[in-house]
Amino acid sequence: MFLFDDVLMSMMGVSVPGLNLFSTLELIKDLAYKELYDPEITRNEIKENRMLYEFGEISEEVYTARKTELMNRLEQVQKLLNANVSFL
Amino acid sequence: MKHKSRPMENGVYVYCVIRAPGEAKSFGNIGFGGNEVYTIDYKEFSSVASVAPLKKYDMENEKEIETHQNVVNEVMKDNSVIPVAYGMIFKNRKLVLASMRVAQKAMKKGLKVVEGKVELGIKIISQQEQTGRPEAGPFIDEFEKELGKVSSDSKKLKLFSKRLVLNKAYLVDKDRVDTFSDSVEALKSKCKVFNVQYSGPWPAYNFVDIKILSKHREGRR
Repeated sequence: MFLFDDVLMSMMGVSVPGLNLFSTLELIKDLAYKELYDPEITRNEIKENRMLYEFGEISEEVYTARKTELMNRLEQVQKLLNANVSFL
Repeated sequence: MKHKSRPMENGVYVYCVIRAPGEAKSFGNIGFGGNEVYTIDYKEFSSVASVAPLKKYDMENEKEIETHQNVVNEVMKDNSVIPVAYGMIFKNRKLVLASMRVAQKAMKKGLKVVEGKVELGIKIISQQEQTGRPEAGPFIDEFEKELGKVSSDSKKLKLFSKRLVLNKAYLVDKDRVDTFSDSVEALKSKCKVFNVQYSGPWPAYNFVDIKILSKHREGRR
């Protein structure tokens, strides 16, 4: 109902400072979710991790641990996408 | 009542396409699961293939990507290779032949591009401890100018990391690879501000349509 009220009041030309702040926070939260759950961003991080390992900047242990973390995240993201969950 | 787990169905996995060697050829048991890698001929072309599980091949599975790459490297030793996208699995040999028939024109075009050539990769990254990003423009310009002289084509690739300032693939004649390598070494020694990675030779993945055998996204048919 929050979003409905907020939009409705904006449409009527009513600006409530508190509500606007909540709306902005909601938007930031949504954008953060979108970034976290964008498979392309995670794929890029997987490639970057591999690249830094190949350049000798990180050890095999760090590379493997990070890779496992990113692969798990990608799997979760793909499950969510398959379940058709959207954040915006 | 327990469900019996069904064994995974097998298909025919295609690693790359080459000019038909004239007779059936085996590259040994180097395919997925240690299966034999052999040729499937259609007119003047051969698909280099092996039996493999009929499943989705994940882009993030490094072990499987390595198997694919090892086979292609072995084939590349004596052949010009038209690379095929990783994960190209067919239900059976008949479907491989049907796809080859449809892709004849594309294979001819692809072979013209890759005959006698290999792909070499250049990645340049900013150094870890750098706080501000140094101006990469002049250095990249010099790299592109010099390497342009010793290659027949090049492609800019995606900058997937903030650290990457150049990610490029070069198509180089096999007999000019040493000249290309010398140029890279000379450029590297001039550069203290960036780190350079030089890789290859690879099959020309970035210069031909690697989905010639399938327009399906995952390559399953």
